[in-house]
Amino acid sequence: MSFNSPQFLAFLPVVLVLYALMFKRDHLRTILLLCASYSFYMAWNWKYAGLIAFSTVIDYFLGLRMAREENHASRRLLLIISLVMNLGLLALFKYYNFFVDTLQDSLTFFGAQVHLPHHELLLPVGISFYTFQTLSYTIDIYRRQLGPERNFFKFALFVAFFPQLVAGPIVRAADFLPQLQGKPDASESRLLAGMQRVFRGLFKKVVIADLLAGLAVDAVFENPAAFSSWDLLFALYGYTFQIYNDFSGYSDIAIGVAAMLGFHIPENFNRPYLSRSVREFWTRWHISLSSWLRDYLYISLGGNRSGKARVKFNLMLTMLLGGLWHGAALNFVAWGAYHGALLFFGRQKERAGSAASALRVFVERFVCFHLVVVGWLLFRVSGMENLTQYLNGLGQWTGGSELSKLFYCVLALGLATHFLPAKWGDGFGKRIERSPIPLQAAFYAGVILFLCGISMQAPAFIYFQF
Amino acid sequence: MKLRDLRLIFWIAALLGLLELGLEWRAYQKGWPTQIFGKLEEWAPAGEPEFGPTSDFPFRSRIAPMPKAPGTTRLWVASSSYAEDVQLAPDAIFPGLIETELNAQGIAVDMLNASRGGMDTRANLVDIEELAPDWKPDIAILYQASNDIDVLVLQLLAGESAADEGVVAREDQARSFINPLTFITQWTEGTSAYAHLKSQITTRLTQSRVLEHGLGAEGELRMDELVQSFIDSCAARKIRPLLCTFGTSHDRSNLRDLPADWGDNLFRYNIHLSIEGWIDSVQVYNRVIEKVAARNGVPLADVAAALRGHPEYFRDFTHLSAEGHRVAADAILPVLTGMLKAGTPKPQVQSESD
Repeated sequence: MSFNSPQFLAFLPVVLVLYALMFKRDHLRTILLLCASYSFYMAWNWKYAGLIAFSTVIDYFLGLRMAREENHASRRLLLIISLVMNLGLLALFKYYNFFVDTLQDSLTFFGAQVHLPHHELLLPVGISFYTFQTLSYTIDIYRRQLGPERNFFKFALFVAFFPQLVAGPIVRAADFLPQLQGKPDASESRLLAGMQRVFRGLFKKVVIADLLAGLAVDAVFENPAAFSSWDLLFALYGYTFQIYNDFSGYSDIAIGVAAMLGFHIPENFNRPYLSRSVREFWTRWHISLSSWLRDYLYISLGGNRSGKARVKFNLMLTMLLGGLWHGAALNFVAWGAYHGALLFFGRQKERAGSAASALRVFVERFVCFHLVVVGWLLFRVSGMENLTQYLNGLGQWTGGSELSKLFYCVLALGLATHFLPAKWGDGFGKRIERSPIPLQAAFYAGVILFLCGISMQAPAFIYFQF
Repeated sequence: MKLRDLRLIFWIAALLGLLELGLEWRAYQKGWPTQIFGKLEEWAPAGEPEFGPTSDFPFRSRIAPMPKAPGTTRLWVASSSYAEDVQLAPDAIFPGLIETELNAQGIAVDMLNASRGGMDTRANLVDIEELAPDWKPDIAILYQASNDIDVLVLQLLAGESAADEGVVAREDQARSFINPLTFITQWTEGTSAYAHLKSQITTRLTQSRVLEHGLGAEGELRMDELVQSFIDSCAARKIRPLLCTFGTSHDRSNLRDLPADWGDNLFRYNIHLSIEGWIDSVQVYNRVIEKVAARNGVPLADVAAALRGHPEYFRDFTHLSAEGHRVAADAILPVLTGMLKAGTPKPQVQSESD
């Protein structure tokens, strides 16, 4: 079930009504949210709910056992079991075919003709997200930074909480489990603020991201040779704002729905295209993943504390794996390597010091934005041939545009909503919040109809595939 | 949290519900089928229904018993909303007009109008496979194009895989035990608000997309396969096929006069093909129909030629007005009469080597 589907429009109010009826009973509330979360997930494919349940059971018992265990070697063994189980499932479903293909291509290159078996299993939606979420739990217990959750249902809810289950933000156990210990902070004002956040996310997804994709980006990337350099350039800008609005829109909806239920989910984006360096970009883009990779991978590898060569290696490996996390394809690995290289050279540059004049800030933002845009080209292309066609087209400097005025208007809207001061949007939101309830309802009903009209042929969220 | 805290949601639901109620009532008054009020059966006489569809007679035509009366010829119309036309009485649309005219000429026929909105040729074939063994039609008239083109657009322009994914997703949904979700989608898509939003917003947005201008050689090949499969299916069941070219209100010569809302309508089910591409694809379809008819020795009624240059014969780009139905019936009748009197030889099932 997608957030921009009619099912969700029916699902959420039903859950909220039941939630309000059961709110005073702690156990019932947890069970209701757990059932809602599994229903939400099973709307895609009920069979794969078993995978979440499996990870939940394994990590629940491993967590309990690890917390009791005093022997360091035993604790380490339990952690390894958790890592192997969770990453094993991820590797099987997401990376097996990719690794087999890569191995087969390599063997063929050296003259060996072998046929390795593929599997035809569908990639379970959100597996990368909930795997990282459960891993944070066992690693934190291993590090003695967190106590185990003894209530199985509460732990299961942490793993499967529907607002962020399939596309993040990746919530850490230390942030979420304490919220299940008492009554959630669910009030009418929180609900209204959450609802506003949901609509903001839907606006980003449906009006900006989907329109950019439908009006130009998909068609241009499908056949770059048929378009002028101008169109290719603007389609690339279009994708830059499509992916931001698609993913941050999803995060807004997730954060908003969680707030309606009284839960706090950490922010995942902070206007990333305003960054002055690629390092800053990674503190503003997909914050929950980049901080996860920093805390559980980069620091585990030694972080900045090792020698220069080792830091370089840690950085590159972290970004390569970060790229691979997004998808089992070489272009994601190349995207990760590209960002790894930018971070490395960026580190050297930052050390030279920086006194910031307005012009310098502008230039740094401009340069950083375009470095990120080039990265999105690697991220979006369907393969080497597609990339070559795109770059050839861009290099020809041909003019003229087949793209509609509406595309440029939506692109301008994407730019405006990202770069203009956030308080302008907040001011509008506050005015709505202060309006009488029937007037607010009329406004939101109109917005729902408008969004439905636009989203009828809309694609799923980009990050569902990861 | 208390129920009272959800009052904004209740207000929104109430406003949307009221809007839908109003739109449904408006649609009901106009004679359209609605989810809440059903359909205003203005044309239906009181008492026993004279026309189907009923539970025993799944056709939109004059009710006939399943066993065929001796000396009666059974005609089957394989089409879609153009021949179902829920806005007119069943005897005012071309299948009904054909039946009335032939019976008036003393040629005993039963009309089985198996056309339903949204059907493409493949759906018509499924109908023939399932219903024809019981109802035993003698002649099957194929009047299709636009829905086939819509499917081909999905397969060829949205990518075969996208169409396959759609099928897989639907199958998965059907298998899923959370069937209420499928019901919600179907119900939502059946609301009057959905229809209005689709025609007012979605279709307009589609025209700003980068659109394709044709289905290419592959499209022509697939059309050929579709029409041929209809002929083969008829031959396998000893039914004589009659092919028709497909009429549209406008073509390239008078495209400038195409009313904006008729053009918008083309984008309700197609988000990839331009209006020019759509018109050209119908021309290609008609060429294919002629070619396949000649190849198989199957009679052909040139309905498109009879309707060409007369937008008044249409109430939108593909759906006929009452006058248009009359013209279409007149174009089909001579060919049909010829078949009935002469007994056109049945086409042979194509061998694989063909």
